[in-house]
Amino acid sequence: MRRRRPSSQTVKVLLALMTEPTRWRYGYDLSQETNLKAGTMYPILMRLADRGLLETAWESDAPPGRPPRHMYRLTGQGRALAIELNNQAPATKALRLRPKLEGSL
Amino acid sequence: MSHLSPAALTIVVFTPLAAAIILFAGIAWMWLRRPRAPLDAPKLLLEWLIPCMPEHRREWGGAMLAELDQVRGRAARWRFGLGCARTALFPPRMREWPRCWFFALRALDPKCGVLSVLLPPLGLPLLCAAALAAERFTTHDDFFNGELVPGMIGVFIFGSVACMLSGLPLGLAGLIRREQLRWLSAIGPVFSLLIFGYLQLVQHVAQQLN
Repeated sequence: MRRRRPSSQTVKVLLALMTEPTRWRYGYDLSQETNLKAGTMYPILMRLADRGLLETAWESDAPPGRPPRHMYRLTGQGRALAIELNNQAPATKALRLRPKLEGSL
Repeated sequence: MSHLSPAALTIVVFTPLAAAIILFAGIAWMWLRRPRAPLDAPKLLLEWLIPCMPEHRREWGGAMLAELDQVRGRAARWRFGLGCARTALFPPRMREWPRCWFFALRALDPKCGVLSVLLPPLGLPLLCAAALAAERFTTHDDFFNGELVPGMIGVFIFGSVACMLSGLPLGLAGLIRREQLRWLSAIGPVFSLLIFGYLQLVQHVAQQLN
């Protein structure tokens, strides 16, 4: 199947997740970090999960009185795509990804 | 009715609809004034929409609702809630949209009593559109397509009469279903009859003025 190049908003989300690829992230925090509205960010997360680029999980130790939150982090495929997109980005916009993670796919 | 000026025609046509809207606004105001726990409107909005999402997306709906719990501040909660509502109504795959919209409308569960009061006044704008189209069609040779316009006028007239009469069966249905605000179901049929009386009155006044 022909894949289109991800949108700039999708790239933003991928790179935000890639800054700490092993850490689980929350939706609202990602939205704040990428400056994307929920109505833009959640469809992106859904599409990434559909394509196997994002893994999701529910919080297992939610504090009493509030519902467990949904968490996200990139899969191996997702990290590879994020690195590829980061390498294609202009030098001024590319993230400085931690060296030990660049090869750990 | 076509003898009336555009401003007068607008007032005549939309007065019953305005009356129905004022009635509902009054009901909403009285309901909001009741002593109750503070309304969390963004949360209510998501709780309405999430069950309308396709099965395989509902986990995401739960995720958005749980995340809303983390958002503080009224404006921020509205922004987040509306964004999530947009996602619920427009999921990533376009072919899922009609299904979401259908279930969202169905979840509203419009009451027969409410419709029995709201639909009859909608007949007037349709009737007005039919009358204006008929007048233009008979006086201008170049008015659209000669075959299409009589059909459109017929549809407007049928729709108008159906709306104006709908108060009777809908009011009855509301009473049979024992809906809340049963008095609305009772006045629905009266509304239908009043609309016809209103039309007669307007016609009479317009003739007198001419």
